[in-house]
Amino acid sequence: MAHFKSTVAVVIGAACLAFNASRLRTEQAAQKIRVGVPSVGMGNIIIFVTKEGKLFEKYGLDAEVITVMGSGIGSKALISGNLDIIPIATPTVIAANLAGADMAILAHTMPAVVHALMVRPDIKTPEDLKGKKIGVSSLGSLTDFLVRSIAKKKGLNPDRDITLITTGGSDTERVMSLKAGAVEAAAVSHPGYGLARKMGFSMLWDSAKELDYPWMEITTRRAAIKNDRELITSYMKAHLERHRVV
Amino acid sequence: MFKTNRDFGIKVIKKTLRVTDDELVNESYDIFSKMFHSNALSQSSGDEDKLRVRRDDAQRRLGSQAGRVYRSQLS
Repeated sequence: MAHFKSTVAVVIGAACLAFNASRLRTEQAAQKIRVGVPSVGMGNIIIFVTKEGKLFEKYGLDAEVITVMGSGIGSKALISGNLDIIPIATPTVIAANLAGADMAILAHTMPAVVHALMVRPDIKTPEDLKGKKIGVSSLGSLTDFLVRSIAKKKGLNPDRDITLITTGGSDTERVMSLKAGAVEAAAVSHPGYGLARKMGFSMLWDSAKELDYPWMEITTRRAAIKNDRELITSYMKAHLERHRVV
Repeated sequence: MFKTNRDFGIKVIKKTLRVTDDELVNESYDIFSKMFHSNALSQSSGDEDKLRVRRDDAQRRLGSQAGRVYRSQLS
């Protein structure tokens, strides 16, 4: 009996040592990565899925998820080196690169946007938007791009006919601005437009039907790829794995 | 995970978005679980669309120099 007890103790002790050594190795190997989220919404939910599902840890990453207000601000944080990787709207990447930035889009997450322009019930046509204020997450963001592009497609001059106002990075903030009367329309994703509909607002357009726009662009800097290719590769492995499992 | 485990997906949505309305959360889950696809590559038609819209904007702001850059990316 005493022999049995000592054997069990040795086995448990060895298991604990092995577990601790394995944990230590994982902790030592974990590379710090700062992952930006341009808005807390469903479009970026996959980053939170990766975090909650511990896929960052699986690929040796110690990810710090940092929320910023829109792609415009996100791109500045990326360029300044305060973030390693973040979904940035393609138009923002192109505009920044034309101005000398070195951003690179590595992948997209969705084939189209899930976005809509929600308006007060008295706005029935795009023409009714003339002179109105529209809430977007930030200037230079995806919402800014979508409203400008679709308004133009509908025959409006986005620089002259409408006023875009920054009303917050989350859908909820933009819907609340709409409810408070600070804006007459707001560009939101789901569940934002579902919430706005419940409050009595109407959908003027479904952005996915207006523009062919692959969504949620995983963006980094070419310098980051050059400096630490392994870090970016590990992130992309986690990204691709969550795609396989989502 | 998200697509294969509805409960996990719903839990992450509620925690992240701080939405308590079950109807909205379930609607979001249904819309987005169909949207996430198994490869992370974009469709070239979508990229061309974006480049064209940006080219028009850039041409207005920067003149012919921007037009040359976008033409080279589209060709």
